[in-house]
Amino acid sequence: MLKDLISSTSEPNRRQFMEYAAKACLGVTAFPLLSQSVVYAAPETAKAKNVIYLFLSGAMTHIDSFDLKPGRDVQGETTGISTKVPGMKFGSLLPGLATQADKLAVINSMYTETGDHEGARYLMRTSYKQISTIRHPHMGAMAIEMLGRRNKMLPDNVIVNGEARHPANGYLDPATSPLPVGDPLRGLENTKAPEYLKEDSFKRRMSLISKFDKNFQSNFKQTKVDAYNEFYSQAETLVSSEDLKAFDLSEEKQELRDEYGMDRFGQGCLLARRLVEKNVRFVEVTTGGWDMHTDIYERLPER
Amino acid sequence: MMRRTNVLMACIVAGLLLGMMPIPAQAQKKPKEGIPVPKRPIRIAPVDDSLEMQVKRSAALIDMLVETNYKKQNVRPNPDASDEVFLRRIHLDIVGTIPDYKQSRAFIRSRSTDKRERMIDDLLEDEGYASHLYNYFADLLRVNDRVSNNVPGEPYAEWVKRCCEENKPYDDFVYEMLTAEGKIYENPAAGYILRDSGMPLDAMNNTVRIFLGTQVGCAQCHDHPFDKWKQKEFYEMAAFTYGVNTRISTNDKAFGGGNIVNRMREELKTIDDKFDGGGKYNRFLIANLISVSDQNRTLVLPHDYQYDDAKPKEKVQVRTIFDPQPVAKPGDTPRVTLAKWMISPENPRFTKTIANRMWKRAFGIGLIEPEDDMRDDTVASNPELMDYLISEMIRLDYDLKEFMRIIYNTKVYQREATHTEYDPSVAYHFPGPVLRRMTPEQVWDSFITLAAKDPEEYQREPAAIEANLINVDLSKVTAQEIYDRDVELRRVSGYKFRNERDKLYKYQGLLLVRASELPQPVPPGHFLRQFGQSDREVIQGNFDAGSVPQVLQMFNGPLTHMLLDKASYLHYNVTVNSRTPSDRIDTVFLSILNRFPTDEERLVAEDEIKTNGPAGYGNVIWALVNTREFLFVQ
Repeated sequence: MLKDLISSTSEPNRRQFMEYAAKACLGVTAFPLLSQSVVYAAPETAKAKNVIYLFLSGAMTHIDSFDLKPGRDVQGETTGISTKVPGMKFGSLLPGLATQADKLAVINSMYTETGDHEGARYLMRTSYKQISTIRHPHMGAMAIEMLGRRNKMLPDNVIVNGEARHPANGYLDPATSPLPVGDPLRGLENTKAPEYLKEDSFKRRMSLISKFDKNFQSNFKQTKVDAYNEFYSQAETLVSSEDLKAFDLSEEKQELRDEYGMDRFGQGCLLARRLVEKNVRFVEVTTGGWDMHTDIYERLPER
Repeated sequence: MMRRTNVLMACIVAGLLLGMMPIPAQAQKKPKEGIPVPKRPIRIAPVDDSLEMQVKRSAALIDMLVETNYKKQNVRPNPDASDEVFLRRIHLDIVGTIPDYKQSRAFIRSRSTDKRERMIDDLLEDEGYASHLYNYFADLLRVNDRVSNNVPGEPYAEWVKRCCEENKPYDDFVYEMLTAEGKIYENPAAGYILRDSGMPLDAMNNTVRIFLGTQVGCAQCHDHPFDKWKQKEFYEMAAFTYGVNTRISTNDKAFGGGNIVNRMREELKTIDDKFDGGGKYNRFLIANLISVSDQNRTLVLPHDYQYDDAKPKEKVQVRTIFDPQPVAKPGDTPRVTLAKWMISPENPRFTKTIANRMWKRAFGIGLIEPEDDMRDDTVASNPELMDYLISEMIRLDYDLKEFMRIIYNTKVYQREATHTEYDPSVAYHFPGPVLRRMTPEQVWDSFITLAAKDPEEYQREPAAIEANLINVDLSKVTAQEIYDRDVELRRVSGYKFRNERDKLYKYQGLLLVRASELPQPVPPGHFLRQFGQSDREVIQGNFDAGSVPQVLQMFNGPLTHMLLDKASYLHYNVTVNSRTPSDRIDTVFLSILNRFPTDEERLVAEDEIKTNGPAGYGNVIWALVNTREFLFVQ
């Protein structure tokens, strides 16, 4: 199986590319088993500085998209179409993507060991199997921990349309936590103070907090309290930052926004682009509803 | 028992009436005080005053067991919590919100020696008790308004809430879910099974984790790497529920041949000119096919089964993962056999799991951690106490309210929270509870207490209203009747109608009602989700971690803003209900932190108000809700 994959293409093997990218970007080995059996010299590629991670929660049906099984019973109604890469076929619902296939690295060999969404989501975000005794960090937090922050003002790790049980920073410092943006159309909410407030009011209010919170803070010196202190200081810096404009999608032309799609996912992708332009290191955009057990041929085209 | 049935009947009748009655046209036009708000009668199960002595005896025994363990482990107990700390904690723990300023002042000032016991009993009879316990189970059971496409989850959500109101014994609660048959409209407990429809192996994995505090999920595909479970054992357990069927075939013979959905759609086209044969009537046609029943279906091992104890594709016989094995009674489906085994006091993990979960609810830490990954070699941090709690749970016939009443009456619960950090690698011996961040629902509900005068007033629409309209027998119903019911359904549950009603309770688009009465779960980006409410896709998905958007929400969000607005209850209490400036400062502190200000804090507040006039009060309020003291439960 592995051999077939390697011989079917003269380009650098895609899996190897991904592994290299993971190593280069995160300093981790994403496919530890494979690295033992296949040894390549690392190709001369640029190191990724920023990552946009599109997460299709519930998992897109692979046999109707990137992993066709022509001629087999399981294939069902979906047919394959040719792509820009000779020999590589995509499902017929992906004609646009097929024209860009030469820019993609498709991995069809990954699997999880349980039919369990939560475990699989965790694995895809952390590269670890989920166990109940430790919480691993997701890739964005790991990138910041290992490579440092790129944008010093904006949060350097953003999750758009995130899910409640995202592994987030795991055991790493709370400061590496992703900033969840619930709805890209509303941008980063609550960053504007009400207009009636005088300029110095915010400062006054902040100083009142520390005065009223003094006793509690000295009684409970605990990590979870400190984590909140850290978020308060980050939020305080953020509200007065120029870079906040990156979250304002109305700065883009409407035609462009329409091309991305005026839904949460489309606008999430546009936001991801704008954030990466501001050097935000890691942006994950999630879109749910891919767990199709039934009515695939009705529901998939709708997506 | 009789009374309980009557309440249920009353609810269904009321639902029917409301559902079928035309709503007066003027009510749909304008939001006004007189808008008909359909309500379900709610009765909170009372506590039995005559059991007081027994409660004290049990609480004393728990304290004795905890204190014996202190000596063994060389642990110094925390000092007793002050009335202020107790008051705030007991409110948050039982009714899920901070108390208001009047309750705070009255309790702190009271000299009555039994005021703590009285407060516990009062709160256990408050509507908030059911609301807060519901939030807990909603997180555990993944309660969701959408069970699947076209199948609403509201009847199930409401049933869980009703069980909390009635204080249905926990073993009955679980038994009803595991054995439920029929449609969610007829038997709302069926929502539990429907939640994992089409995923029979995952369903068993979840059931074992929720009710037995044990993780067998790994053994779904291979022998468990850390625990003892063999893949075969997982399959044997899953075989009990493998025959569960959740969907009636469109070609079922009851429908008299052919595809009932297609046939109905064709007939509906002749009645409804605008109908194109698509999904418009799916909430009748599809939803009424979703029904839980049992079939004879044999589970076989996977084709690539790799162990010596059986062959690939071998048929699996039912067998529970713990002894004693159940003895199947004639006529019982495997599911009923499993359910009886599950809730039996002999089951080594059922009672232990719920007793430990309830202990954890009060203290923030279980006697066993993690609460849902027990192994054979798992030892509670205080085994004698764990055994005693199990025996109490059995003695009380799984009466969760009475169980919690005992725990709240212990000295150990009423101690200060531990000041130093809890270290998960070292067993915790309960010098007192641990410091907790409020749950997402506690944060929200506390804000609602500050903002709204009567937060209990608003109720979600009774599920019976929709259920009674949707529930039809597809083998008997005519297309005309479906058409009529659809028209009626659109009218009574239409967005416009709901919106008109909800307007009365909204501020800047936010519905200011208790978390348990909001959509389940609220959409991403909502205050509750930002503070960690579960997406209800995974078991206990709630989290208590902070984030920058949370803080921004506290800085500038509509809820914080509302507190400073004339419309808020807090504003009213400060400006109208308090006379002197010093009184006002007291009201602000008693409302938000549920204590009087210290002398130093009073000076700071006075100075702020002197400098900024009335806006100074706003700044003080704003600062107090932004303290960590507000957000954490001591």
